[in-house]
Amino acid sequence: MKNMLRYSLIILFVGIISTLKAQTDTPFEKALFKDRKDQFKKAVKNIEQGDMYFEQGKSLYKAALPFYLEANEFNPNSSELNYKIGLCYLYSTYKTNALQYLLKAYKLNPNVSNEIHYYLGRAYHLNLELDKAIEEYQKQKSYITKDSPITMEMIDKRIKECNYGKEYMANPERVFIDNIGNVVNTKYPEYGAIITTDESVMMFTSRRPDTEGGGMDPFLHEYFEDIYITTKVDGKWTTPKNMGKPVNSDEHDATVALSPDGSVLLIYHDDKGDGNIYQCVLKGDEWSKPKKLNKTVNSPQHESSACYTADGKTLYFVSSREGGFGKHDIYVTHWDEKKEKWSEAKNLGGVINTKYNEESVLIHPDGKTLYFSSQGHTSMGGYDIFKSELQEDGTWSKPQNLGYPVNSADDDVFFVINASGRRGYYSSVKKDGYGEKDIYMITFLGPEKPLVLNSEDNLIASIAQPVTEKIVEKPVDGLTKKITLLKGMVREVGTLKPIGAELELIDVEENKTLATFQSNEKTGKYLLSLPSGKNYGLAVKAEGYLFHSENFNIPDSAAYQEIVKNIDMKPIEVGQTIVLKNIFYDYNKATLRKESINELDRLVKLLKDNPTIKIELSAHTDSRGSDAYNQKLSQARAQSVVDYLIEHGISKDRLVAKGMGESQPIYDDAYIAKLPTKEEKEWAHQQNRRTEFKIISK
Amino acid sequence: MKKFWILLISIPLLISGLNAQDVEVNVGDSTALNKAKAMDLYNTGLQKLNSNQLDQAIADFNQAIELMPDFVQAYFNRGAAYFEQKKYKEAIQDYSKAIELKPDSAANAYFSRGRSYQLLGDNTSALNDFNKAIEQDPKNAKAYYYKGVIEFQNKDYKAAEESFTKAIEADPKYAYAYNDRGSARLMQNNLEGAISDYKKATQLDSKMAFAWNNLGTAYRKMKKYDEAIDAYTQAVKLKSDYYIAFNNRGYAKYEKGDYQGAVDDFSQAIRLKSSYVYAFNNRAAAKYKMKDYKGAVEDCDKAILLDNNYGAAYLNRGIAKEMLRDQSGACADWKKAQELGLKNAKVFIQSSCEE
Repeated sequence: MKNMLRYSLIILFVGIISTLKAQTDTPFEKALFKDRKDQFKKAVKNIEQGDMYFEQGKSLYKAALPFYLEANEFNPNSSELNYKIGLCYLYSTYKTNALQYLLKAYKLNPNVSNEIHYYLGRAYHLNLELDKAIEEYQKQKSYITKDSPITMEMIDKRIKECNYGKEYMANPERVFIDNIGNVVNTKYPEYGAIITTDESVMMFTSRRPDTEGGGMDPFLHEYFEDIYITTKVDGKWTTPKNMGKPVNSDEHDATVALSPDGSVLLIYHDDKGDGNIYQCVLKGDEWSKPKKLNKTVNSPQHESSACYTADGKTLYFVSSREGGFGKHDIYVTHWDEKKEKWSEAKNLGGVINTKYNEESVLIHPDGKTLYFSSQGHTSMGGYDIFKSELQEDGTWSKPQNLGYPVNSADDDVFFVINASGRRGYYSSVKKDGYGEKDIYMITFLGPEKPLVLNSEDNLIASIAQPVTEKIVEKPVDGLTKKITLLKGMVREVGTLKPIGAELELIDVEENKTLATFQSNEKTGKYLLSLPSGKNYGLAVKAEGYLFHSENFNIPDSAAYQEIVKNIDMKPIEVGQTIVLKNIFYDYNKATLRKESINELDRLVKLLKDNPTIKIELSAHTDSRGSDAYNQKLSQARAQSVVDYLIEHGISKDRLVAKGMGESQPIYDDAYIAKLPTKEEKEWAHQQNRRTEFKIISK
Repeated sequence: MKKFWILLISIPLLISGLNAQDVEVNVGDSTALNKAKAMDLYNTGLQKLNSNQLDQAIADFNQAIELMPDFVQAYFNRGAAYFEQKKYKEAIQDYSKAIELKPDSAANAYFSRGRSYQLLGDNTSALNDFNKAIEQDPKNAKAYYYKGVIEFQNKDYKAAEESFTKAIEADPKYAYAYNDRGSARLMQNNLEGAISDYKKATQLDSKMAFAWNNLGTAYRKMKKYDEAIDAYTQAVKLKSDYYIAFNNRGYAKYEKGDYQGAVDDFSQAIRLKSSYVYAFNNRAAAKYKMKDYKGAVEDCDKAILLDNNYGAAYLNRGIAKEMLRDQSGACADWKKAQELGLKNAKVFIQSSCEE
């Protein structure tokens, strides 16, 4: 009994001592570690090595970290070391770890640093404990002198960020954020994902052992950045491949942007701190050598991001050149058709650019939604992702924060989004990650979908049967972009051999070429983005083939859709026929409408390029109206086309006009009668109303 | 000349409001004897009718009519007996005969025939008869009332409101007419007017549970959820098995944001009526709001099992499935909901489903 009491007292005493010890600031002083001389020496050495990196600035804090952590294992009770570890974490990958060290440093010694409250604020901020962050930021205010590195402006900006963060977190965006899996993500960092708009191809930057040239950062022990590519097969990403030379060099190579069809890749080269944008083009299955973009874009200052519009005629980019609102601003340049050069770069203006930095610019294939990251505007911390719309009058709408949890208190950059606007990708460090930064997919659910409830009431007193309330559905907004993705392959009819063809996209009403694209000569693949609200003509041309035309009238109201259309080209041979889908006549008349000129001129060119061929032009009507009337109308229409060709220098004896009336429908009346909807029936009639040409001799 | 005064005892609903009628009989005549006999039979028949011995009453009226083939009251009351037996076709024949015999003062016969047609589902004939009854008796509150009911069922709420107003003018204590006018106003989205009528109905007849329920619904539509919940509570206090009111109170709690309260009420409605498809669907919505997506899907499953053409349940199940990351299941449900006429389903498909 007596012994027991003694032991208890000893245990209690030891307990008190160790508690006291745990709360005492214990500097790395020889005298305090007499019993552990060797380990002490090693720890001091670690600190010295850590300090060497630490003193070189924030970019090397990460390199100091392993040394400091080892020393901290030996003596976890140095306020100074805890403070330094906290700071290192704040500027490393795993920023949220900073908090525990800074808290401990403060506990061990409240005067560990004049900036302790600011950094505690930062750590709380990054951990999204925003009220505590604000409290710490406020406390820091009393430490400000005119020489202190932390200024009142910095603190006020941070507090503002916290307040925005509280607002966003109270009304989180409805999204799913998923790690895209360990086929793509590894223990190495993955970031800067860029995609084709149909999400069939993804490229990203990573630092892996198979980096081209095997180079490694000597301090951070990280491999040089390289660009990797993965494709989606059966809905799953395949194992990424290093893109190799010539896209990747022995130095850092990082993704910047990918054209919607995946044929033009923009990349970033540091060029010894100059920072420039380079362009690679896919021909068949080979990428061209990176070519530095011209001086309109690449200045002696730093250019870090760029993105073409879907038609390739406008380039948005980020530059730190002088004359901006902040250090990095977003600029735009347009391709001048007449002068055949890029126009002078123009700052996007004060609606988009702030006195802080803007980064990571992306223009959606709809041509009007700009996504970018900014430290300014209503950021909840670091860079946040914003979007702004190019309005009818040419101005930009007020940038809108994409909200929490898309944005966090940390830097949110390198955001890309698919054509429908339903899914985006970005990189982040999260608990469920595979190490360092990983690529995550964001699924946007849009505003909450209103559920429908039902009720009934005994509205009529004399009738027992209750009356059911009419369902009133709350109006909902569609989330997706109004855009049509048109994709497929250009092939030779019959053999299905892929063809590298030129695809000319035409605004039928305006009678002008919107853009030209190429299908891939190895795969025949093409992809076009057609924003709603236009009548589009598509002319596909390849040497030795008859041109092929298509018409897509996509009204303003059309929602997102993906159309897969394989285009089978016919060789120039006797007997081949082509439907001219972009020839239009006035209603019930033979007069050619001006919208037809583009197509007619293409026909003129074909006949001039192939001076020996003779063609028969036939016009067809649908089955509505009398046979005789239709016969007469179609003859007159065919003649109108022939007349146009003659007027434009085609010899009369090469042309035969033939009115077919309703005699050769593509879809007969019996077929049309069976179609379920009025729209489908109208579509079939429209297919029957057509102008064709046939090669009758070569 | 002697007059027999025959006092008709008022039978609730059927011949109430019918005044004493007289039948002239000349004593001494040979037919006069028959008539006197007929009168006796008629009176016993009437007593039997009043004590609900319907077959026997009809037998007496038959004999009375045989003895006196133009005995209007006998036809009318035999019609009333048939009416009580729910033999509306026979009732219509008798009322028609009564009208034929005395076409100028046949307001009650027209009204009763109208009711018979109404109960047979022939609203056009019924409406005709109610109009004739009103023509002959512009103070016939019931004729106005039932005319209003038909107009309400024909979704002509404005006309219904007018008819109910006439009924109320003829009988200012007509609680049913107040309730129904409230409903006509509710349907025309005149919520203030509806509330005042429903309140009046509950004042005239404080036991009228459905008027309290309807009052709750008018408040709910006005987004006055606390008042709505109070009114529904009154309804279920008066009628503890009133599952409709429990379902509605749950709905009001849902709109108010009290999802747990809503779940409890929907569950109570289900306990009272295990096949109550609306309550299952509504409980699913409340569970969704509580982020119990699995529970929501289960409740929608039950609703769909009870009614596989119930669009709202498909729509809601799709919304819950989306949160469970079952996008293809969600899209299949929205497609079905779209087929069943839910407009938002199309928007959901466009914004969240792959082509």
